Amino acid sequence: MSLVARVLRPLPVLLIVLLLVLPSLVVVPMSFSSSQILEFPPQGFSLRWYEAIAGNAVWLEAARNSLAVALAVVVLSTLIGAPAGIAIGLWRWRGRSLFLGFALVPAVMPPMVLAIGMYITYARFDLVGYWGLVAAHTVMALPFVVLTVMSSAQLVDPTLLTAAQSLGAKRWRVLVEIVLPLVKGGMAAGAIFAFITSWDEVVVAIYLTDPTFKTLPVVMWNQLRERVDPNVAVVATLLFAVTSLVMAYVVLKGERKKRVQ
Amino acid sequence: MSSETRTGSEAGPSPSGPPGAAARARAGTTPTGAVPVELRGVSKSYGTEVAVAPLDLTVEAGSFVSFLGPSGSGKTTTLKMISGFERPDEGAVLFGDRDITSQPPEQRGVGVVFQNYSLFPHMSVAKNVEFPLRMRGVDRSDRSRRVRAALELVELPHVASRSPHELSGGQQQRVAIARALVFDPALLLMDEPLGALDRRLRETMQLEIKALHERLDVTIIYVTHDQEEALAMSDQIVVFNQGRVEQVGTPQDVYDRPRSLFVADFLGESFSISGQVTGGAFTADGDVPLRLDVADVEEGPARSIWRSGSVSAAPRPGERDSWACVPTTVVASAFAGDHLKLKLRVASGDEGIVSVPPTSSVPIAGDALDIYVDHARAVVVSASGGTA
Repeated sequence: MSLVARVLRPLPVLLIVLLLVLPSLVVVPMSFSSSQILEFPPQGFSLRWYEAIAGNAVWLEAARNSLAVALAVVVLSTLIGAPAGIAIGLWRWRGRSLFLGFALVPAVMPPMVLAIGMYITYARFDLVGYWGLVAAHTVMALPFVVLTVMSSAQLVDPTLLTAAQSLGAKRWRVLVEIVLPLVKGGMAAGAIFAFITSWDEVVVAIYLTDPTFKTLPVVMWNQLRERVDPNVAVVATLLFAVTSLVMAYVVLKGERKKRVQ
Repeated sequence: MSSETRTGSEAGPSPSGPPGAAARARAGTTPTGAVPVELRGVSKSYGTEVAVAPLDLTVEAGSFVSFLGPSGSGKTTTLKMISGFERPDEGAVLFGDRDITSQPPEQRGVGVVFQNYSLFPHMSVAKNVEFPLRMRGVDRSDRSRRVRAALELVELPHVASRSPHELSGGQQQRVAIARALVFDPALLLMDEPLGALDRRLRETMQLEIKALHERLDVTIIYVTHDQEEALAMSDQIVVFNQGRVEQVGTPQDVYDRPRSLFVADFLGESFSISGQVTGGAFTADGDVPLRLDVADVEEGPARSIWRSGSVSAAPRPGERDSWACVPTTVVASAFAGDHLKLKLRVASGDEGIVSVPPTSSVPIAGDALDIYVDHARAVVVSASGGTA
């Protein structure tokens, strides 16, 4: 490899790190600041803001709410999205692409458009607060579940289903004994994407939450508008940590699976 | 469509009798043993494309029958109608006297072995073999005993706890066979089961499958496009072409007495000369001095066919009288070790390949060469049969 190539090759990665990752990471040192205001570079080092968060009922309540919404979203979007993904990935049927198109709409729709539409319609049915947000996030998470389950269903050799049937398995047993175990990985990945989609979603959440029910990103947003103190940096760091841990788990698990095969 | 009715009657008892019958006699005839399979006028079309034209066929209980034909000839579709994965448009499928035409595949109790093994990748070998027993609600202790027996049958008891992807292709196919046999099916269907294996392994597996058939009381229907495989393994061969059955018979029947040009060509190298059938005799085209008495051949264009054993460039002295001499021109020659392969052109316009013993002077393109064909072993088939 020439010298020029050797210098140029890591350049894109360096640019990504510099322009994308580092700016979002500045909140991490800022969260350990001892100063009263959010600033960079941070002044001094302390855990006072972490202690403040741990003792703050608003933040804790919001974290519980976020978790409760995200977990419900994981369950609902998997229950709806996995069968859809299997149906699209495994069998050819009329209207299959149209169905897939519809399932993917929430992923390409600007969040603002979704938020306004959902706010107007959901409010009419009084579907705000917890269940309203669960419903909205489920819709937004569905494309990820459908796509990941669909791609693992596409890898299932259809003659396995034929073989299972020839060996005496009724249709539902073929599904339970053969299809589900083989798309398990896709379902897990979809569930994780669904969790993250809900966990850090703010635009729709601003519309569909009310003063009695707020999620973490909504409280952060409100705080940022009122006063800029390192509280927000702490929460941002925690959110970031949870998300990265989940992603790291997915990536490492995927790597291990590749090594096994 | 009326012409197809002949196939049913031709599937009569083979002279040697199916080996499965012997096994059955040894084991004492059990009512759950091998079943005969009968197809009554079954047909299948996809849109306007006819996959299988109305077809009558009887497969004897305990016999080994091959469906032989090129891809798209209808053999796999016919197999699927027997396994239940395709529903015939018309006609009936019978196992013994049981009409199972509308029964779903999982209720037919038929073992199926596929070309790509189709082992469940998320289950161990033992779990794969156990699967059909579990689906049938066989209790646990009985299951493990039968799984062991089935794996011993294919000589693979030591791989029980392994994962399918840790096995070689041949081992995987043997596990697939164990899985298809573990529930004692009366009928085993094999769809090009050795197609994915290399040649040497294929030959070993042919013998193993043959030996399994001898030991077990089971009817086997074996789909293949490999004529050597069909000839080596079968009691009966059903030759398919373009959705129709061309001929049913023992391997010797279909090889030595092909009913059509297609069967003659598909079953191996042959040498043929075009001509006409008029008044009970075949006359070769193009002033080739050849005239053969024939019976049961439609008047009109026809071809006379010889298998490699009945064509020679130098017949033994005694044979010269009963063999006819045909003048030919050499088109190409190739040295193949213990023999020469010659591509020859006959004045009738036909070209064919003939193997001859190596001679001191290898004929070259353009040389004239007399070859001899055995009168008695000529097979004359009509060329207007639509299958040429």
